Amino acid sequence: MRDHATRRTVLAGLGAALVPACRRAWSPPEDDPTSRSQIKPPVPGAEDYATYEERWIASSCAQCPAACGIRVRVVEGRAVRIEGNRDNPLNRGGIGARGLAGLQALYDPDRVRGPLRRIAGRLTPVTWDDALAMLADELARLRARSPERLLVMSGQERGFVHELVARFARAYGTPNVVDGSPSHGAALEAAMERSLGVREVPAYGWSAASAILSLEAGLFEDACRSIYFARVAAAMRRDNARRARLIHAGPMFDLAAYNADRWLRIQPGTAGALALGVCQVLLRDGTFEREPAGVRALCAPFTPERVAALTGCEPDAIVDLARELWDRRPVLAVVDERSLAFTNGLDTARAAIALSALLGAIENPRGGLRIAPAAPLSPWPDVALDAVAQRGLATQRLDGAGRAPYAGARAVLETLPDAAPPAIALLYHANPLFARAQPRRWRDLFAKVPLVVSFSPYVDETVAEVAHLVLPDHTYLERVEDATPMPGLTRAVAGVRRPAVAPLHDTRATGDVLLALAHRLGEPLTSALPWRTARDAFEERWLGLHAAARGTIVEPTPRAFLDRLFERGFWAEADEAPSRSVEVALPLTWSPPRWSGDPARFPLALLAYHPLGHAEGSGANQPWLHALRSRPGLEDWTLAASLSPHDAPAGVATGDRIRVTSAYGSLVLPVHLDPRLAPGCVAIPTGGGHTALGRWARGTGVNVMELLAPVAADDTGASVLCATRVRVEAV
Amino acid sequence: MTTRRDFLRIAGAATVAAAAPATAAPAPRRRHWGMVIDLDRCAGCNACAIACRQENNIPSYAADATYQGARPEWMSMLWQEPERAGALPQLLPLPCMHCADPPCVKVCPVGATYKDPDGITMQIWDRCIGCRYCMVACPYSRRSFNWSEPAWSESEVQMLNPDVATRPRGVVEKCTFCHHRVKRAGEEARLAGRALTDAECQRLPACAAACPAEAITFGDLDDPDSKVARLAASPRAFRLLEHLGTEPSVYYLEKDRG
Repeated sequence: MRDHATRRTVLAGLGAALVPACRRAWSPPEDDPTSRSQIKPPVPGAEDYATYEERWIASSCAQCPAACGIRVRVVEGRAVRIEGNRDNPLNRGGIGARGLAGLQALYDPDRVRGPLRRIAGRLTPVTWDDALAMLADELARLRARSPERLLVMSGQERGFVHELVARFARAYGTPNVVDGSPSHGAALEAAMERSLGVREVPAYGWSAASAILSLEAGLFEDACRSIYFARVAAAMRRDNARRARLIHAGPMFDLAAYNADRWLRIQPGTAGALALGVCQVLLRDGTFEREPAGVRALCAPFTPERVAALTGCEPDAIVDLARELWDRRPVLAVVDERSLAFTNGLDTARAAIALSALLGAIENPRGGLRIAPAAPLSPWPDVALDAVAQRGLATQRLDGAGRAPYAGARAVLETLPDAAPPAIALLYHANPLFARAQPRRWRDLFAKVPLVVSFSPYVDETVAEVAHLVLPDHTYLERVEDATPMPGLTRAVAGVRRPAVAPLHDTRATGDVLLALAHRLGEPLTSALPWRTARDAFEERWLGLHAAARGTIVEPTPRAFLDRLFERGFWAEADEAPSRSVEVALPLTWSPPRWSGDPARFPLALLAYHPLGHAEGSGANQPWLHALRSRPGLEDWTLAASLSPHDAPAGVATGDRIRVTSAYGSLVLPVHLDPRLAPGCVAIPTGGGHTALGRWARGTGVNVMELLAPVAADDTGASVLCATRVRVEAV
Repeated sequence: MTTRRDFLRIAGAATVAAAAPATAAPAPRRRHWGMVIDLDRCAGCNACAIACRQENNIPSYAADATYQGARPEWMSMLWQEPERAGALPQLLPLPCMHCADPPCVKVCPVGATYKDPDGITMQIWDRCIGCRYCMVACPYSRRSFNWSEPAWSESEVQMLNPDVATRPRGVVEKCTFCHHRVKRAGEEARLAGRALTDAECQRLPACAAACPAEAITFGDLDDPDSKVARLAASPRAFRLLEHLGTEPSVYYLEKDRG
C-alpha cells in the first residue's frame, strides 16, 4: 500500500471536491439576479406548448371602449406582449398606453382568485356551485315577491355581455338596469338623437377635411378614441395634400392644447357658446353651406362680443375662427366626454352639430360628422315575458330615468343613493364606492342592500367593503366575447376577443355565469338565455356577418367564417358607408354651466378630469399607467391639483400641499402652479386615492370624487363631473 | 514520418482553404441604425414609453419618494419648458441617442458599453461594475442605474419578455434600439433567403411599433432610399445638443405650429 498521493488520487480528490462546487455555480441560487428572466413559474396552459414556442393571438382590447385590434404574443402559455393589430382599420397597428398595460390587468397579483362569499364579515372562498346555488335561490325568491327590486349596474355600455345582462334583467322582470359607466356619452347620444335622429355617438370622416375644431374635447387624453384621433390628426396634418389645422378651445393646457396649432383658452363649459358664436358670424357673413330652419334666431344672441364675455377670448378671435373654418371646410367639430362634463353638455353637443351643419360637414363624404354605420350582426330573438316580468317591468325605475326632470335619460346614477334600496344588486364592471361622486352615499346605500353581488376580477372598493358575493369574471385576455368598438370610423368594424392564455385563476366569464343562473332559475329565463355557453350566444349573433357575405371575411361555411374571424380578430366592412341625407333639428337654447356651491365661500370651479390612461380610476392597479406624463410640470406617480398662480394662496409654490374644500368634502394634496390654466379653476385628475384595488392602486393620491357634488344633468341624467365650486387654502 | 514542419504546413493550408469560402461570400451589409421622431405627428400619448417598459422588462416601482427621478426608464417623455416667454412647452420622446461618437463608451473602464458595428450603443449588463461614469458622461441623461434589485410578484413575473435579460442591482441600463427585435427580424429574413426590407424596419423597435400616430420611424441611415434617411434629410430635422459633436443617430422633426 502506498502512503503517498499519486497523480491519480489527487485528480480524483479534486474532481470530487469540484463537482458540488460546479453544481452550485451552474444552478444559480434563488436570489441570483441574473437568473430572474429564467424563472419559469407554473403557468396554466403551458403544457400545450413546446419549449419556447410562441403564438400570436389576434384579439381586441378592452381597456377602454375604443376596442382597438390587438395581437398578443404568448410564449409557453404566458402572455408577454401586446401589440396593435396592423390590419385593423381602427388603429392600424397603433396602441395606447392603456392597451399595453393590459398585461398588468391580467397579471395583477391581487386579483380575486375564485368565488368569495362574505361570512361573518370576511370574504371567504366558496365553490362556484355553492355560490351559484345561493344566488339562484335568492334571485328566485325575490322574483316571486318583487322582481323590480333587483338592481343591475353595468359599467359597460356596448357589447355582448352588456346585452346579455340587459336581456337577463328584462326576462327577470326588473326595469332597474343602469348601464354606461361614468359616461357623458349619454349627452352626446341624446344630442345625436334629437338633432339627427340616431341615438349613437358620431363617427368622423376626414379624407378631405383640413381642420379639426376641438370644443373642449379631451382628444388625445380621455381614453375613448384617443388612439384613433392620434392617428387621424397625424395623417391629416402630414399626409394630406393640405396640412390640416387643429384648433382647440379649452380651459387647460392638456394634450389637445399642446397638439393644437391654435389654442383658444376659454372658460370651462363655454365651448357651446363659442360654437354658436362662430355660427352667428358665418350667418352674418353669408358663408354657410346650408341654413337649417331656425338657426338664425338661435344664434342671434351669440354675437362675438357676448361670446367673448362668456368664454373669455377676444371677439376678433371668434371672427377669425369662423373665417378659418369656412376656408377649410368641411371640418371636424368634435365634442367628447370632456366637453360634455358640465350641466349644459346636451346644449354643447347640439351647438357643435349646428356648427357642423352650417359648414356642410354632416354626412359629407369629404369629411365631418357621420352617422356611425353598424355591423350587420344577427339580432337575438325577442325575449318572451311572463306575467311576473311584465308586472315588474311596468313598475317605475328607482333612479327616475324617463320621467321629469330626466325625461331623456336611460339611466341616472346620481339619484340612486337617495332611492329605495334594492333587495339584490348585481354589479358588472362597476365600482361605485370609488368612481361615483360622494362615494360615501354609495357605501350607505349598499349597507342597506341585503345581497350585493360583484363580478369584478379585482378586489376593488365595492368588493372589499360591501359585496356579499363575488363571482370573479375573467380578464379580457382570458375570455371569448365580441368587442363592439365605440364608433369612430365611417366603415363598420366589429372585433372579437378570444383567450390569449388559459384562465390564471378559478374565474368564470360573466356571460357564462348569467347563462348558468338563467338555467337554475328556469322559465322564462331559460328561454330568454337558451344558450349552453356564452360562446354559443356569441356565434349566433355573429353568423349575421357570415350571412351578409361581404366585408373583410367571406367564407363558404359558418365554421370557416368563425375560424377565420378568430384568426384575424375582427370583421370590417370593405367600403365606407355611403352618406345619407339627414334633416338637422336644432337646439332650443344654450345655457351656461351651473356650479354647485356659494361663489363667495367657494370661489373656484373644480375641473375633475380623466387623465391620460387612467379613466375614472379603473386602471390604477396597473403600475405603468401611473408613469404617464401628459402635462408639463406634473410628476408621475403623483396626483396634484393644478391651479393658476392668480388663484394660489399667498406663499404657496409648486410642490406645496394645499387643502381643497367643497361643500361636500375636503382633500389635501400637492399643488402645481400652472400659468396656462384658465384663472378661476382648479383641475384635479380622477383615479387617485384608492383604498383597495391592490398594491399598486392603494395609497396613490386622493380621490377627487369625494369633493364632487352629486349632480345629474337635466333631461339626459348624465352624471356631471364638473359642477362643483371649491376653495383652496395653504396647509 | 510527418515532421512538425509538415504538420504545420498542412494545417495552415487547410485553415486557409476553410476560411476561403467565408472571405469569398459577401460580408453582411453594415447598417447605421437610426431613428426619426416626428414631433408634428406625435400626440404625446406615452405609448412608446410604456411599450418600451413592456418589451424590455423594466420593473415598476411604487410611489416611493426614494425613486423619484431614479426609476429606470429607457424611453422617457420629457416636457421641455420654452426658453421664450409665452411660448408653449415641447414634449420629447427621448430614447438613447445612439451617438456615432458616444461619450459614454469612452469613459467605461471595463468595456461594458460599446458601439456595435451597426451603430447601436450596446451595454453588456454582466460586465457593468456600476461606477456610473457613463451616466455622468451622457449629455442626454439616457442611462439609468438600478438602485435596488428589480422585483416582480409571482404573478407579474409571467409577463417578462423571454428575449430580454433583466438587470440586477448595481448595474446601469439603457435603450438598445430593441436590438433583439432588430436581430430577430434580420435572422428571419436571412432564413427566408432575402434581405431585410426598409418597410420591415420602419416600425421595428417596440416604441415605433406601438406609436398610433406613426411618429417614430426606424431604419438604416446609410441607405439613401430608406424612409428614415429621407426624413432625416428634411429641413425640419434636428438633433439634440448637436454642438457637442456626439453625432446622435436619433433625429427629430420639428413641430409645425401652423
